[in-house]
Amino acid sequence: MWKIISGIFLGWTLGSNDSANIFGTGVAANIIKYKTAIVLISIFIILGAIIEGEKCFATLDKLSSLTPTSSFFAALAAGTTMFILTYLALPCSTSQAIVGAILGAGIVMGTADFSILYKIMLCWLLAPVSAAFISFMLYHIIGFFFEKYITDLKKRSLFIFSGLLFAGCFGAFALGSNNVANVTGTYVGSGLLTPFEGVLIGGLSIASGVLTYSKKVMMTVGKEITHMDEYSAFIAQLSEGFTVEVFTHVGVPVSASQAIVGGVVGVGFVKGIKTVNKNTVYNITIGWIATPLVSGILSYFLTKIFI
Amino acid sequence: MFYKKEKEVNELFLKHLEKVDECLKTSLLTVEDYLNCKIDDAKGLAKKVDSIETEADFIRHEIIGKMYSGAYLPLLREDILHLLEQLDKIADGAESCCDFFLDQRPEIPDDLKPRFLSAMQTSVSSFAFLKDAVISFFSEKDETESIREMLKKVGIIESDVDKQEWDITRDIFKTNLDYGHKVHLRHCIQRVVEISDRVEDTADQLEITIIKGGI
Repeated sequence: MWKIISGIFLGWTLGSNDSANIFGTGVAANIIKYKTAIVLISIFIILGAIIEGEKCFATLDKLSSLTPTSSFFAALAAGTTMFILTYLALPCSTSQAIVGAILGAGIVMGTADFSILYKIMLCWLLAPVSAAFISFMLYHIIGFFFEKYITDLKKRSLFIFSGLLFAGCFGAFALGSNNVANVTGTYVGSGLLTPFEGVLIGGLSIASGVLTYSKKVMMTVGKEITHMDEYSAFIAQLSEGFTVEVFTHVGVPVSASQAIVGGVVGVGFVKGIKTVNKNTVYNITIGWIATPLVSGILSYFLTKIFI
Repeated sequence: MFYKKEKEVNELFLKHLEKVDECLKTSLLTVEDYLNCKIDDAKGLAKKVDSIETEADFIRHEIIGKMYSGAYLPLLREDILHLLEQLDKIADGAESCCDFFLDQRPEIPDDLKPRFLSAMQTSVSSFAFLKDAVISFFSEKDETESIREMLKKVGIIESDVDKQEWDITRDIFKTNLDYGHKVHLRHCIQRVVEISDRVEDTADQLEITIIKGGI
C-alpha cells in the first residue's frame, strides 16, 4: 500500500496548484474568504471525484498496463516533474505530466500504447479553445439577461457574488471529476486500488493540497485575473468549469490552468481587448511539450533503474 | 437577509447627499447676506456651513466603515467610495467659498454684486441635477438613460457658470481698481466657480461608475 504515497504526493501538488484557477479571483479580490474558499473547493473536489471521477480512468489505463511498482514510479516522476517545473516557475499540468510518466514507464515495461495519444493531445489543444468559445457565448447570453433583468446595484452585486461562488464550486467539482484519474489512475489500472478507493484517495489527496498549501499560488494567479471586472472573471471561471466538465465526459484529463486561460481569452474577444500575450501562448505550448517530455524521461529512467 | 449592508450604505449615502445639499444652500445664503452687507448674519450662516460639512464628514466615515465591512463587490465599492469622496469635495468647496468671503472680506463693487450673486446661484443650482442623478443611481429601477440626461444638464450649467466667470473676470480687469484688488476679486469669483467645477467632477465620476457597472 506504501506505493500509493507518490500518488498522494502528486494529488497534493495538484491541489496546491490548481485551486488558484477555481477561487483565485474571488479570494484575491476579497470577495470570498480564503478559508471559506479552500473548504468549499475541498468538498466539491471530493464530490466530483467520487461522483464522476471514474470516467477518466479508462483513458489513462489504455496508455499502458503498469504494475503497482511501476505505477509508483510513474506517479513519482509526474509529481517530481510538477515540483521541479513549479520550482523553476515553468508552466506545468498534472494531466500532461502523468500521461508522459505512464508512457515513460510503459516503454520500459513494453506495454506503452501510443495509439490513443492523438485523442489525448487533441483534447489538450481543444480545452483552452473550447473554454474561449464557451466564455464568449456565456458572456453574451448571461449578459443579456443580466442587463435586462438585474438593474438594481444591490441585486447585481448579489448575482455576481453568487455567480462566482457557483462557478467556483462547479469548477472544483469538475476539477475533482476530471483530474482524480491523474492521481490514482495508474494504481487503479495496475489493480492496486479499486476504482472507488482510487477516487476517494485521489480526491482526499487533492483536497489536502488545497487545504495546506494553496494560498500563495491562489493570491498570485488571482491577482493576475482580477484586473478584469467581476462579471468577466465570473464568466471566465464558469467557462473553465464547463470545459473541464465536458472533457470529463469525453474521458480525458485536461489542464484546468489552460482552460482558465481560454476563458480569459474569450472574455477578451468580447471586449475587443488582448488578454493574452505571446508569453502566455509560449507558456501553454511549453506546458504541452515540456511537461510530458520531462515527466516521461524521468519515469523511464526511474523504472529502468529500479525495476 | 440579503442586501442588509448595501441598504445601510444606500441610506447613509442619501443622508450624506442631503447634508451636501444643505451645505450648498446655506453657503448661498451666506454669500447673499455678505453681498447685502449683513456680515453678522453671514458669519452665523458660515458657521452653520462648517458644522453641516463636519456632519457630512462623519457620515462619510460611517459609510467607509460599512463599505469595507463587505457591502457591494470590490470594484463597485471602489467607485462608490470615489463618488462619495467627490461629493464631499463639493461640501468642502462650499465651506471654503464662505471662508474666503468672511476671512478675506473681498470688497466687491456694487455694480458687480448682482453678477457675483448670480454666478453663485447658478454654481449652486448645478447640484440639483447631480442630486437627482445620485438618488436615481441608488434606486432599484434602471434609470441609466435619465441619469445620463441629468448629468448632461450639470455640464450645461457648469459651462454657463464658466461663461459668467469669464465675463465677470473681464469686467473686473476693465475697472479702475488697483491691480491687487482686481486679483483679489478674481480669486473670489474662482471660489464661486469652484463649486460647479466640483459638481461636474462628481457627475463625471458617477457616469464612469454607471458605465463600469454595466457589461
